Amino acid sequence: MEDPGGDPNRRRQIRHEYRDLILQLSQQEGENAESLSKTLATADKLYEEVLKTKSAREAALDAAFLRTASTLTYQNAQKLIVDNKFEPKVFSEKLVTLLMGRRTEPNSRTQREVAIKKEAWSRFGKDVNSCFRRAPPFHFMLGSFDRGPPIKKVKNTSIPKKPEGQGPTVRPNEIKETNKSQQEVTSEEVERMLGILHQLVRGDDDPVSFFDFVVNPQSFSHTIENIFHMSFLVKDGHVKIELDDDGLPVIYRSKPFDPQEHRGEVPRKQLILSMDMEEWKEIVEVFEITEPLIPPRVTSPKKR
Amino acid sequence: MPRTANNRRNVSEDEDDEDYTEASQSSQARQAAANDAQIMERKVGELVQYFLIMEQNKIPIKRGDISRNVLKDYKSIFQEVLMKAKESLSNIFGFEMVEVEHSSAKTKTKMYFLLNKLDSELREDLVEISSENPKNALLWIVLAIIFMNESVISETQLWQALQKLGLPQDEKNHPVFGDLKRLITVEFPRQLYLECTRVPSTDPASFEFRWGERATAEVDKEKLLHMVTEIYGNNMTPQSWRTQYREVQLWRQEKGLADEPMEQDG
Repeated sequence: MEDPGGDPNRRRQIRHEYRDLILQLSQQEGENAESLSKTLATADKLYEEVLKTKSAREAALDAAFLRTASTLTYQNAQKLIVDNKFEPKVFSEKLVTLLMGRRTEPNSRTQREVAIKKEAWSRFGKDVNSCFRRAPPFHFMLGSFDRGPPIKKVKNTSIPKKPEGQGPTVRPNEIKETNKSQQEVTSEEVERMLGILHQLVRGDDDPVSFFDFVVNPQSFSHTIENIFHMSFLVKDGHVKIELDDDGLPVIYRSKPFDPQEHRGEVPRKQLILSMDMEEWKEIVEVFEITEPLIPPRVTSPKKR
Repeated sequence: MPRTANNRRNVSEDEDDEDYTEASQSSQARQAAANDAQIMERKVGELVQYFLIMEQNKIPIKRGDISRNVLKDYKSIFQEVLMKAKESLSNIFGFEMVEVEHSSAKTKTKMYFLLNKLDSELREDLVEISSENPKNALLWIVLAIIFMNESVISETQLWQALQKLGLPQDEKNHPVFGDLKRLITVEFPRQLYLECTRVPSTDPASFEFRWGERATAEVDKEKLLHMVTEIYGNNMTPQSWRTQYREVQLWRQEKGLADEPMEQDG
């Protein structure tokens, strides 16, 4: 490649000037022709220098400049209004007069008032048909079937074909219980527990040992679950827990708390009861519990 | 021409029977040729019918449409079937099958549509029941505006003009035209009546409209100019629209019409 001559610094400056000019042009849209011709003259001078150096880079920029300039010129020329320039808006107004069948002052009506009737459109359409070499569409005399909505393509991958001769489809039993939320299960359990308690004790003054009631000698986890459910009964006031003469907790039946009877502050008490596996085993031994008073609730084997 | 789907099968079976009696090679060749002719005739008929039906909504037919919907297993005879269908359409129906190369952003597709070969004078007395007239009226107006505006109009200008006709751009439920913007920017371009292109280096993008391939083939520019002049008034004559008049002269030359001056209508 031929090494372009000229001072590299000067060349850089030329490129910079070209870019400036192109930027100027893009901002010149809609301005008068005078500023455009000035810009063009500046570019011409620059190009004389470019010619001396024979450098391709600057020449390319000159071409880019020229392209932008000619686009701009073209846009300006389009906007130029010559004497008998066609005015789409004037044409529209004439059309309105023609289609509405009356003469109205163009300025006296607003857009919304222009409501050309379908018949007028239709008539006009017929009039202009002679301009078109339109092939009359082919229709069946008694009409054709409606095409209907497009048929959705079903992907093959969705359902594998069932082999023939297969027996009736076996469907696993639906498990209703899984649909229940945890909350429903809990409140059901709490009610069941209360029912069992009501069977055990005959009156409100008839206590039952807390441990006898809640501990399930076969299952630590059920024991804990029972204590959990018991806490709801206590909270709602269905049972009360007291310590008997031996200092062991016993359960009494109670009437649920009625806010009508108590005015003012009702003190709230909390009790944290802990029981670990070792303690549970000890309790089972000491109290000689052999059968759970609360039979474990029936759950589907899958569930737990 | 009634055609049944199992036509081909019946034919081949019949001839198979004959073949058992004289199973010579030459007769097999003859029969193969007869089969080919049968297939050809059937496909030509199907294609003619396809063209007639597809003209209903004026959407041009693509090459692929023909192969996929008509020829199916016989794509190899495309060219011949097309030529014969063209002949039939011309001789029987008086339609001209036009082939255009439609170029979109990157691809060029060959498309086909039908035109009427009869002169409008001859058609005048024919009864035409068409519900498309209102749309044609609008189409004519848009095409006329573009033509008179020296073959191109910006989207903004066009909508300004249509607004004056009570056709605003954002009208979705026009009692006659429905969704106007869709009609102008989607339906007409699809039918190749209009061409909507983006003006280069504009941001936000602005668009301009030109005539589409179908309009160029279908519209009688001379009649169009006469009608517009009549409506426009303002003491204009077709000749005083200089650019447009020159355009009409060029169009006449292309059509092979004599360079007859249009003064008599003046």
